[in-house]
Amino acid sequence: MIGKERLARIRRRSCRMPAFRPCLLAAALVALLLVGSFSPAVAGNPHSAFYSSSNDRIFWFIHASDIHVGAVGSTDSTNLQWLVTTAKNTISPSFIVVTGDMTDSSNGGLFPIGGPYQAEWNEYRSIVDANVTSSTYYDIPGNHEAYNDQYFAYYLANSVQGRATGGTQHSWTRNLWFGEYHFLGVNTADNTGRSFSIFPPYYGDHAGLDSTELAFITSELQAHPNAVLTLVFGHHPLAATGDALDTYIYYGRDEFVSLMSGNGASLYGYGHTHDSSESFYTQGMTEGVFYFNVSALGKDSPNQYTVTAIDCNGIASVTQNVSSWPVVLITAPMDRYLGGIVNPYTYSIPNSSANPIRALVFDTAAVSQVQYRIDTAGSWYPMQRTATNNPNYPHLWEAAWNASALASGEHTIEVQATGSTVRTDSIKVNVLATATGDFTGDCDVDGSDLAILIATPSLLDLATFAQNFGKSVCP
Amino acid sequence: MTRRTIICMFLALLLVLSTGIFSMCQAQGGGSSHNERGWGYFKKGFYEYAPHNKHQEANQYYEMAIVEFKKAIAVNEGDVAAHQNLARVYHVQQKYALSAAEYKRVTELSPEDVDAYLNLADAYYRLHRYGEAIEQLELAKTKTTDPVAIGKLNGYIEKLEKAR
Repeated sequence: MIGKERLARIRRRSCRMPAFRPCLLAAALVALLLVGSFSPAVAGNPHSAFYSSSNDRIFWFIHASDIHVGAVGSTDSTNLQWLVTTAKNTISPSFIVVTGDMTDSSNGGLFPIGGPYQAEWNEYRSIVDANVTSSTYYDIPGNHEAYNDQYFAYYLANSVQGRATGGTQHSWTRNLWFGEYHFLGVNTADNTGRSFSIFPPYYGDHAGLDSTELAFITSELQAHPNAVLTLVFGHHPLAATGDALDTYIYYGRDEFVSLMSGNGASLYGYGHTHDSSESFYTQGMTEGVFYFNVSALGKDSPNQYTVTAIDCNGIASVTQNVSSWPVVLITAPMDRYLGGIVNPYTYSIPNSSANPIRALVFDTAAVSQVQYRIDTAGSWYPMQRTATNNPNYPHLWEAAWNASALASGEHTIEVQATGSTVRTDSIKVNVLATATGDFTGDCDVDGSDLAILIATPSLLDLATFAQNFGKSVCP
Repeated sequence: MTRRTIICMFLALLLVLSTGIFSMCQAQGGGSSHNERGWGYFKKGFYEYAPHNKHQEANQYYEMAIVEFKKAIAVNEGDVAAHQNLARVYHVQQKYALSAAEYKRVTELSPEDVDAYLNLADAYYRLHRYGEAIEQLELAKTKTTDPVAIGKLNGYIEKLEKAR
């Protein structure tokens, strides 16, 4: 029999340590539900990346730009042909996005004047129409499509997406079993049909987004409130690059940036500069977006493209020269750095004995070996094809890395693939002695981890999670 | 000289003057309307037919545009816009020698228009007349003090030197 006094003691204890955890958990759940009920829906959550051994929550795409078909002295058509045949067949991307300047609008002349030229577009179409469809290839306009063509008549009549949609801006999704991912291609090119000019500041390229274009962007972001991630593409940089010759978005930028920020966009990918870079754009944003610039595929050197992967909602990217193999991209864990700055959307990783490492490897030749090592020294350890367990991912390699002996702090992971040549990708990660259930890697198990667990219950059993809830192991 | 004679002479002078003014006005208004009509034909061919590979239809409109631009020039040989438009149509038709001749006239009529020199240089380039193309770009350089523009022009000149 339990006496009245003991019963009262039990009741009093019911909301104290350690029995208070379920209480806290329930409170967190309720809070989460309330927040979910009253917050305005946003289109994406850049913080949704998590570190997991799940090897089937991954997809990837190719970002190319500035093909410039018709430019004198360049390998534009050859490189485009390579992109939509060899690269597409070898990399098997979910889609290819081309951020403008498909044609040069010079047709072999000295300047991009006198165009647009249908001959250039016919050349472009002869390559793309035989190899891609409007559900796998997204070509958006650049300044070379806008010269002398206020209404983008040539773009609309000849580009893959112009013909498919009748518009100059495009919105598409990938609905996968692990969530909806939303992609948006915006038309940053000038809308006045100005001619090319040699005079600064605009050079005939008064780039920007007008009210109609912004309205489309707004409505498409609002139409995908359940998107896990939202990635946006345009031709121009958002701001001055430091090179006086680079035009950028002159009007509508603040509204556009605010829309990306307010709707949780993760990435803005662009071309135009004929340079490649990875950085983070924060001006006018609450947190910021990955700011990825890809070099020209068809004009100037080096001719490059980017492979971007989304693995457990973490974004990874590698830039590669045309026709160079293999492509090696570490997709998990996420890189701690972006162009030298700490990536705010990455996670720290635990010093567990079986940390997953995953990498995509693409090659036209057979890949004989993929291996990894830690901190640029010591032994290389073999990685296995995920295809052994999951035939849907023949290009994905994985390994379980024993990080238990590592001290907390920054460590380097290298993955080296042997195929046509030997190539290595390298990332830095922050290792923390942390608790199971810390999916966000912020060194405690809290409501944000609970949100991830609710979205993905298979990550961890609830009992283990509840046991660790509230634990904090930050140094 | 009687008063009547003076009045008659005055009226005759008035008539001559008013006819002259009228014909001048007609010339200007006529040139402008030819230009507008010609530009309308050009746009129809260039933006409605050419992007859909309807080259025959496009060319019909280009020919109609040429007729109008030539009429505008006949009314006023110094009509810069008409020469410019005519040059543009010839360029689209890939008649680069004719295009060059018209752009050359534009540089004479409007020597401060830097774009005209670029257009002319481009036409010469397409005709493989690289020396003349370089000459035009050198002339363009004298029309601006902007260092970025001059830098760009030097880049193009370098490209042409290589081609030569």
